[in-house]
Amino acid sequence: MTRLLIVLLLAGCANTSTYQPREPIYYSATPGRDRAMSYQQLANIRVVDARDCPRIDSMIAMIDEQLALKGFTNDNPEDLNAEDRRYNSTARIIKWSLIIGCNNPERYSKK
Amino acid sequence: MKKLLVVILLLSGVAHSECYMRSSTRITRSQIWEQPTDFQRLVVPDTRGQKCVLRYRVNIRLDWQTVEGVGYGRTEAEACSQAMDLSKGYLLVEATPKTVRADSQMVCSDLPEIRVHPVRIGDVIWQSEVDVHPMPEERPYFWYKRTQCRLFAERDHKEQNLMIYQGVICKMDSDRNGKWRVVDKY
Repeated sequence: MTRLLIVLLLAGCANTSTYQPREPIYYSATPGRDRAMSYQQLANIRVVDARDCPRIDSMIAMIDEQLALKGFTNDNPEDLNAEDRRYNSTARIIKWSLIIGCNNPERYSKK
Repeated sequence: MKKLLVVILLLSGVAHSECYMRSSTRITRSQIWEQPTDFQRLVVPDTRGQKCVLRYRVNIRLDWQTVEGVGYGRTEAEACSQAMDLSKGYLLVEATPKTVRADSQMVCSDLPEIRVHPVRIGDVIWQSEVDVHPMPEERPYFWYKRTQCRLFAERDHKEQNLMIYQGVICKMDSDRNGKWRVVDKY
């Protein structure tokens, strides 16, 4: 039987309308791959909600910094291993959810 | 020698042309999920004035398909306006040994062939060279840095696994029929 593994990287995008209070995120600013936020910390960031938009610039800067620390500045997913791909896609889904949600108010319903 | 050269040149021209079968399937507006896009036109003189062959892409149930419309008119604009009539367009299907029949109408053209294929960040593409996003709420266009953009999806069959990537393409200029740049993929 053919093993079929469907990697649904898209699931994160659908959950855009619920707002969940969260703990502040702390991460080390020291450069280096190991200093980047962990995957679990990244995955715990819930976006997008209108209340995230006033701090969109700092959030995107933070996501870009994590990608830079990991060395994923402009990588295509097929060039990454499974673990790196998961981190890279999670970070970019957060980033684009913010960009799309905050720049296009008519696209996502805002609370 | 000259004759041989002419034959070789003609044969090489045919080899580079992309051939399709003109199917008997007509398109109806209700089948189309997206506005027709990626128009390519070929206008030639005709006894009635001008003949316009218009190729464009339509999205039918998540699949991009190539449609060909032909119009005639006294002017190029008139001919191409007729060719744009969706109800007169025919679906073009790839010519394969299975699809070719004795009564098939084969269409060959030097117009660049547009088809879905894997892309990389930075590539410049036609919009219909990537699949539309499978989630309806992710399909609409959006604005980013005053540029029209949209999400896309890409299926990657690696060994026996199916990977689904998504990404962002943004329009390169204001031309309605212009090309798009792959700005991200993840």
